[in-house]
Amino acid sequence: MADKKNHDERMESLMNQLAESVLGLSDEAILAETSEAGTDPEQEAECTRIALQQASRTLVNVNQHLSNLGHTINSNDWWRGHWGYHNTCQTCGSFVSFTTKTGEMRGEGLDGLCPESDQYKIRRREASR
Amino acid sequence: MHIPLLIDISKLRSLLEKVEVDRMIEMLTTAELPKLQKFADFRVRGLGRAARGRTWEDLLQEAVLRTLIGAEATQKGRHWNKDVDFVRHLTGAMQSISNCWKRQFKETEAYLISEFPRHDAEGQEHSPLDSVASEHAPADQCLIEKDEEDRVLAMFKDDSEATRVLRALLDGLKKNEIKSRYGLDERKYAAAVKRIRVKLLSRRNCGGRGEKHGR
Repeated sequence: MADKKNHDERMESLMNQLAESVLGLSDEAILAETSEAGTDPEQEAECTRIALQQASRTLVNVNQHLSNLGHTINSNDWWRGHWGYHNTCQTCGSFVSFTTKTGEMRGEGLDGLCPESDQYKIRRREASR
Repeated sequence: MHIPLLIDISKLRSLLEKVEVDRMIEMLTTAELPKLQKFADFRVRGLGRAARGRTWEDLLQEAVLRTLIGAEATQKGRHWNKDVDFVRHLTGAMQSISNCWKRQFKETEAYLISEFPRHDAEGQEHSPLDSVASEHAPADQCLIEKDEEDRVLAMFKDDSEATRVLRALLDGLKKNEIKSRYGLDERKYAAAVKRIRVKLLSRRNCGGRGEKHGR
């Protein structure tokens, strides 16, 4: 029964060493290997770039969206949960979260303007004139 | 007329850093991108059940996200030291993220067991841990892990050199130890490792891009 941990660790050791071995490959070698594995290197590269860009775009979108609504987010307060990243507005405490997998954003912070923000107060004053 | 412009330097710096990360993503070459993809793929496979359905994309995206958060936060995320090659930075990030996922999985497993006290007919509380014989895993899980190892080895049954290298890697031996134990020169060792990589990744490609890679 002590084998379980061994099998798990053995596979981990194998895969991690294979991952490490990829880093030492020359450009020609990695392209040749990708083709040999039955994948178009150009297509694989683009697919990977899109995945990277999607992560970046999601964070920009969520920050932009919250800023437009007058919420104040502290970058140091992002925390990773099972679904994705979570944070709360420093001013009103509204919750917000997002996932890079789908680019989806959730939380009451996205539903409307921050009631405590100066931006909101100015708009309110303008509306009352 | 002189109009003073007030700029929060720290915000400007973080913005420039994020722009730089985006620029680096744009500049990654056709060879560097598959390298990142394969590295992520093997690291996620190495997680086994701890991957919890995550794929190479999840790991890679997490690495970028932590880099971007690190650009604007002082205590969170992962700071990219510009003296380090961007590919190296991302692979380093992926390595620590996957190690962290593994650690969290082990902690959560222990947490879940201890979080479920049971009550008998007399209302007496018992921990499920009371009936656990040892710290060893269930037999069915053990078999699944064993099966996976056997299945990988079976893929190379006609390639004795690759099988030897594979067994040695499973045993945790390092490159030089393997080379000296089996009398392999650099070329033969590299060729065997390449065959292992190609075969393992080809299997994934058969299932299409959306396939989950957790074992």
